Formats: sequence, structure tokens, C-alpha cells
Amino acid sequence: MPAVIRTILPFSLVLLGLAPQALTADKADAVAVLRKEVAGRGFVVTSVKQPRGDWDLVLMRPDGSQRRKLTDTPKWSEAAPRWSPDSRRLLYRRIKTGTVISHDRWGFQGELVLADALGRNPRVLGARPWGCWSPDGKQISCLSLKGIEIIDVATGTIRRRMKRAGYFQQLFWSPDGKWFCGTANVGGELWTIVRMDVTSGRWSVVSRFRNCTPDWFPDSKHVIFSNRPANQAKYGWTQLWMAPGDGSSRRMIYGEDGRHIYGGALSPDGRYVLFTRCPKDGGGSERDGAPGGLMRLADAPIIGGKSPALRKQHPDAHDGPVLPLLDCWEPHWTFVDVTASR
Amino acid sequence: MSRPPAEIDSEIMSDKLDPRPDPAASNPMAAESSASIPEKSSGTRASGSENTMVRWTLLGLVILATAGVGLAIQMKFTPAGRYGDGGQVTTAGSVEVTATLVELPGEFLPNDGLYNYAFVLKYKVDLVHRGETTGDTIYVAHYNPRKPRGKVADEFYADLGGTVTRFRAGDAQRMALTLPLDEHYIGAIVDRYHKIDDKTVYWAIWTNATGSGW
Repeated sequence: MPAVIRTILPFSLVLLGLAPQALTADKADAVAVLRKEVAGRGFVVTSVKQPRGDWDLVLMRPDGSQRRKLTDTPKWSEAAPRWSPDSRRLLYRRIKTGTVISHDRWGFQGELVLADALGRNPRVLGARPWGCWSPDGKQISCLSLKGIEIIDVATGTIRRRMKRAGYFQQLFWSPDGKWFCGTANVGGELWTIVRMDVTSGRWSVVSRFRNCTPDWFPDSKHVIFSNRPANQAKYGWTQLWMAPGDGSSRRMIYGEDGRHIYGGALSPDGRYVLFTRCPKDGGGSERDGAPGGLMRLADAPIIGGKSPALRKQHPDAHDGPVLPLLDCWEPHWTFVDVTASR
Repeated sequence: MSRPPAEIDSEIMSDKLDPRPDPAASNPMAAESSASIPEKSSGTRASGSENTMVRWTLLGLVILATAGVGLAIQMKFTPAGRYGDGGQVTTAGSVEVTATLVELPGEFLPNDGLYNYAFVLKYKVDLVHRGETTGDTIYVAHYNPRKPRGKVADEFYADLGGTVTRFRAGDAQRMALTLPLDEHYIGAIVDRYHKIDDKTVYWAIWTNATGSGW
């Protein structure tokens, strides 16, 4: 063996041995940077399963710090909270403890509750399936067998009723008030994400085949949703995707073989994404929730874990960073300091 | 069944007016013989009228016997619930039919319970028991078709039921149905007949098995 190689070889082996550690350290640093970046950017509210069996609403900073319960009701589960557009009030569902919460039909379960931003002074509004804020916070949209109903929050009266055009779950009103998005039957394809013009009722497809849990980007032009693509072995894994409202294209935000990704929600400025990573299909609502995650949209697509098959399909995907959060379900984000007395 | 002629009625009336003690009053089993013995022993009646009465009586007995034998054979060789009229099938919904499942258009989706859906099946109508159908061929949406109908009801659709344990092409089922589908069901629909325009899809409330055909 030449002397040069004999000299270089030991150093090379040492460097190769240190490389994984260096990469891990880099990853940890990247997560730490992300944590610091989002820590002061408002608050997240989410449902967290309690050891006694019910779900309570928990408030925390986006990095998971300053955690505190907003509700503490053993006989009731509080689910799927959403602040009003001005972040002064909170809508959520109240479901009897012991009821298994369906990850995709929760909007039909229990009752809609209106409270202040910290969950105080709750007022039960009745069943009101899939109750969702209008842009001005004065109305809510609901989805039921009767169709889409626009209801005045103050009086409870129905202001308008529209045909539901195939929508069957997860109806959400865009921040600009012009659109609905939701999960619909279209032709023979179920679980299709559809956008509907609130004024005319005209609708178009955003994403076909095995999609659910859509929600709006703050720009009202894009939709985030979960999708289990067909190009996978056996049952496959649910991934987080986004598409423009006109359905002209779509791209993956986060995927991980071995995890089903649900609960996609944007930060108010659209720069960060919240989601949950459930080892079993469903968003974790049927069991104990699922580990939460937070990432920058600019880092998308990110692939978690080894996921060799997924990496082949998305060779340009990043490894992270993803900030891990507590086990939760259906998180929602505001930049407003809801803890300040207003 | 046709009504017997008037002379038999008058004959019966005359028997009741007979001053002799009526054995049937104390022994119901003797009623038939007490009615026939005097007729046969009577030699004063017109023979034409008597023959007519006997013929009608015999005809009635033959019809009754034939019906009885037929019913016995039916009961012996037909499985219980042949007509599938148990449970809510005769009262639920607005339409009640016995219909034969034409085919299974592909496999049902996996993972029932986590993902719930209705699956549209095609039937040939054999008999309309109640209400009206849109034609001889109907399309029926069944909720979570992998589940036995007896276990398909849940917190969202509590009124569903029936005795069908699995769907097989060629099986006849007695179903209580309703319309329109989207006023009774809000959920995912697997419709492999979606290219058929303007078809009516019924919502199955109750689905009973009727045996292996109609």
C-alpha cells in the first residue's frame, strides 16, 4: 500500500465515522433554529387526549412551550377548535366523553360551541354540523342533509341555503369569503376535494382520488389537504398536499412512509405548516391523537423517516427540519396574543 | 274464490231450522257429518239441486285439500324467512321491493369502520310490495356493504338493518327503500354506475334475505 494512502486512510475513516453525527447535529441545529423562529409567533390551540379518556383544548406557543389547558371537562370532549378571523372568539365541538371521535366525520358529532378566545363563557349553538366562520365572524356555514346553510351567529337564523353539490364532509369557508372547499362525491370518485363559488354555487375539482380534510391557505387561492396516492404498495400512506383552488396542479408538502399525515393547517402568514403524523390511518382522533409537527412551507416537500419508496418518487425532497410537537389533533394557529386582556 | 250458489245457503238455513238436536252444538267435530247425512238420506228433494250441491261441496273440499298440501310442501322445502318480511322491511321507507342483485361491480372498499361509505348496487325488481319503483332495474345504495345488515347501524345511521349477511350476485333481497338519496344520506358514495345518466339511486334502510332466488 502506498505511503500516501496509508497516511490518508485513517483520517478518512475517522471523517466517515463522524459524518452521521455531524448530519444529526446539523438536523438538531436546524430544528432548534425553527423552534426559535416560531416560538414567539402567536399561539396554537389543539385537542389533546387526557389520561382519563376525554379530550381537552390546550393552548401553547407554536414551538410547544407555555402549554396550558383551556378546558377541563371530564364528561365532555372538546374537539377541532378554530379561532374567529379576529381571534376574539373560538368555535369548537363538544362531544360526550366515551364517544369515539371520527377523524373525518367529527363535524357531525356532538354540538357546536361558541366561546371567547380562551374557551371561556361557552355557549352551545346546537348540532350545526361543520360549523365554520365567515370572514367577518358574523356568520357560520354549516353542512348537513339539508344542504349548505349560512347562519347568523347573533340570532341563529338561517340567512341562506344552498344545494350541497356532492359535498359530504369538511366544508370550510375561504378567508376572503368567496369560496367553499370540502370533500365531495364527484361522478364515481369519492373523497374528491371540491371548490365552490359561494355566490353562484358553481364548483370545480381541486384534487381527485382519496383526499380529505381540506383547508384554505390564508391567500384563499390554495388548499391544503391529505391525500393517499395510488402509486404506493398495498394500502399506502396518507400524505399532506397542496393545490391551487382551480386544481391546475398539486404538490406534496410532507410525506413519511409509516405515517398518515392529517390535520394540515397554515400559520396566518402562510409560511409554516402544522400537521399530525399518525402511525395508523385516521388522524388519531379515534385513539389518543398523533405526534404533531411543524415545518416551513419553503422547505417543502419534506420526507420524514427512511421512506425509500417515497424518496424515489420525490428525489428532490428535503429531510427537514420538522419541529416535533405533542400528541394532538386538529391544531389551529393565530398570531394574535389571545392571552392578553382585550 | 267464487261464492257457492244460493241453494246451498238455503240448505244450510233449512238445517238450522230442523227441530232435531244439533250434534255440532256439543261436538264441533261432528258438524260436517251432521250437515251431510240428512242430505244423503233425503229422498224427497229434487235430484238436480242435490247433485249440484254435492258437486260444489266436493269441489270446495278438493280446492281446500290442494291448497293445504301445497302449503305443507312449501313450508317443508322452503327455508325459514323465505319472504324476508321480518324487521322493519314492511314499514320503513317509502318503497318495498323484492329484487335480485344483478352483479357486484368490483370489490367493496377495505377498512370499513374507519372509512364509511355507501356502495351502489344494481337490482332487477321481482316484486313491488309497497310504493312504486322507477323501473324494472333499480340502483340501491347500501351503507358499509362489507358489514352484515344486522350490524350496519351506527350513531350516524341508526335506523338501518336487515338479515342479509353478505351481498352476492343472484341473491334476492327484500328491501325497504327511500328517496331521494341525498336527503337521507350524507357521506362518501362508491358508484360504479356513475356513467349512467339520470338514474335514480335508492337508499336502503332495511335489507332482508329471501333465499336463493325468487
